[in-house]
Amino acid sequence: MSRDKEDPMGSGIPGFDWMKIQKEYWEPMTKAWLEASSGFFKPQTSPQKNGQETNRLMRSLQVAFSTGFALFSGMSKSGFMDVFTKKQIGLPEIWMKMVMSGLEGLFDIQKQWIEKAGRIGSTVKAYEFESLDKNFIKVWETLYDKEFRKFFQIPQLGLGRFYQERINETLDAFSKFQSGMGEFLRLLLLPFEKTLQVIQEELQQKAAEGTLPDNADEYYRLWIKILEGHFMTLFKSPEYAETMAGALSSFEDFISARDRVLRDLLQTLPIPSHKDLDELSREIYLLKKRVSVLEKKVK
Amino acid sequence: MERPKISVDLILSKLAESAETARIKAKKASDLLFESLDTGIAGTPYDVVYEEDRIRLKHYAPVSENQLKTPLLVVYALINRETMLDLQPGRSVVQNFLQSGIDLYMIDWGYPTRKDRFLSIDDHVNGYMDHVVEFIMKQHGIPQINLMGICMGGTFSVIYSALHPEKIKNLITTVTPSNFDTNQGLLHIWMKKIDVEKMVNAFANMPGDLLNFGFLLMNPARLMIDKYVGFMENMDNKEFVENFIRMEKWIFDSPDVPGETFRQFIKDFYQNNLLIRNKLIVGGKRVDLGAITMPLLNIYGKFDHLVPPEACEQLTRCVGSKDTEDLCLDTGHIGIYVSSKCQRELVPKITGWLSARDSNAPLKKKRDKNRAKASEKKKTIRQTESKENDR
Repeated sequence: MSRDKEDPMGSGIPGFDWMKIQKEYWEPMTKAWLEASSGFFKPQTSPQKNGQETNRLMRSLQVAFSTGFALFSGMSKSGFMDVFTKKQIGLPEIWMKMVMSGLEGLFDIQKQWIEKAGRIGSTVKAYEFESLDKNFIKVWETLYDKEFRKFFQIPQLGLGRFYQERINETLDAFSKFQSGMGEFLRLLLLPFEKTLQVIQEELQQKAAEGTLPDNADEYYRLWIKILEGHFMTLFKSPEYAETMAGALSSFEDFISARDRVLRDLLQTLPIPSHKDLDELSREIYLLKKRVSVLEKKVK
Repeated sequence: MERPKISVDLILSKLAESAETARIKAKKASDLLFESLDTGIAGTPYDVVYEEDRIRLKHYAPVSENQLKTPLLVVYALINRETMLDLQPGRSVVQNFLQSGIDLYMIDWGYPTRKDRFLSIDDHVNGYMDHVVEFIMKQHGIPQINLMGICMGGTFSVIYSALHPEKIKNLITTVTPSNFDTNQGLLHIWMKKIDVEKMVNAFANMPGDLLNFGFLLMNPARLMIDKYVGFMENMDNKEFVENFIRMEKWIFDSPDVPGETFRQFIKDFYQNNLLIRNKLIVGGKRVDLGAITMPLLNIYGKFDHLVPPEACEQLTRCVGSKDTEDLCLDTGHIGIYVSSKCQRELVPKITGWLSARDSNAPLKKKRDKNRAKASEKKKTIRQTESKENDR
């Protein structure tokens, strides 16, 4: 069978040949299978105009292929391929832009790590937490806000749009919660880092004075005392209070978003959700208050 | 940076020397942990004489002739449990009160569930507390009772006394925050930053475990590391282990706090400091501290990191009463009730202070009559460790 003879309009269209091969393979295969299985069950049939009965599956297959060929025929009209090709040339640019922005962010994080590693061992002032370094979690957070978050905010379409939006909100809230908690934990680890550095200086001083302890317990007491002091200083810093509030806030956002998705899932089960119970509790609470007021009036 | 020369060899030789001691200690500790330990808390017998929703009113069985004519109602905070006042025999505020001849009642706020999320401060103060006070007055046939509040329960007691001054004969506040405009305590700093509306919307009730985690974070070096190092060092000491476990049981027994009450407490107290400025509205009424005209004893801890002295000491200057006294003890928030030193100071002070103001209280026979009637209904609860754990 020559391609030109079959459908001269479709030649040169990407995918046309594939569609033709599929048709040539699946149509006789389905026919053969139906004939073979006709002994076991009676297929659903409907009379056609010419009086012959055609199988429903065969009909669906024929309709699908006809639609496919019609689509390819439309694509073969003059000028379509030019437009298509131009758009295709533009696509790699879009992909490159997306990949580059992600890579730039990752380079930033790497740069921060290297800078941070370079500072290890440098002298630190004891009991000071002002102007803390911006760390990789913050860089990631900025990158996430700028580049990735918008994917979760793409408007959804169709019947399930609200459900999908709530799932996206939960994923977004989870990412924010992770970075919020990461930042909070990083702050909590800082006193340990600083304590190690300060204790080194203290030991140097004690060594110079010849008063180094020869008992492990004394080293522990010294360490825990310095650590406690560092924690106290950190906890009083405005940055800690803000980070803690931020971590809590992102946790609460995540819990609320997660609950909304769970509520959607619970709708399919014959059990009440927290929202249902809360509404009921509120009504009972208000009713009890009214009864109490009326009871006092009666007395 | 030059490295200090730590005498590692000396340290190691000392460690080797103590290895044998450590081995014996570990053996003793493992034997001890496998044997039965007395770690029960709140063992003093009591009757539940009143119940409403989740709350219960405990009445402790007297152990001596009542020395005071007016009974004392103790109101604990909604955070953690009132069992702290009765941690162990010999270190129990409850037992000390009973031995001093005080007729003692205590509110057990119970464990709020999700349905309690809408309960406000008004419901606790003008609802539960007022019903309990009315009940005790009726039982004893008296027009007034003595009221003692602890921490947040103290703040509730201050509000109650301002709104119902005619029902309170003497007011005692212990480690009670009334002024929230201070940066001395970490709670005061942190609470100003949190978005409590969002928090309550997310959690409904404030989870007790989350609150506890917050308290641990106030001093992680001591509360999460050193405390347990201390435990390891004393694991072979039965008395130490028993007391340590009792304290652990109490400290991590944290009911959730009803959402609306928590929201109001953070917003109206920590963030807007309305109480001390006489601007707080509870149940549609303004809480005027000037209405507190009964005698007031205000006790707090010098080293309290949760409710620092700055949060407590203004109260006596703001109330309408002319009979006020401040007492600052050299201890912390919990030490006031559990340290051996304060055990010797706190209860004798309160008992003496109440005795001096109890002379003209009427004691009617009606009390005994009512008690006999009530005793038919009430059940005696000998609280055991297993019952505590069941909850």
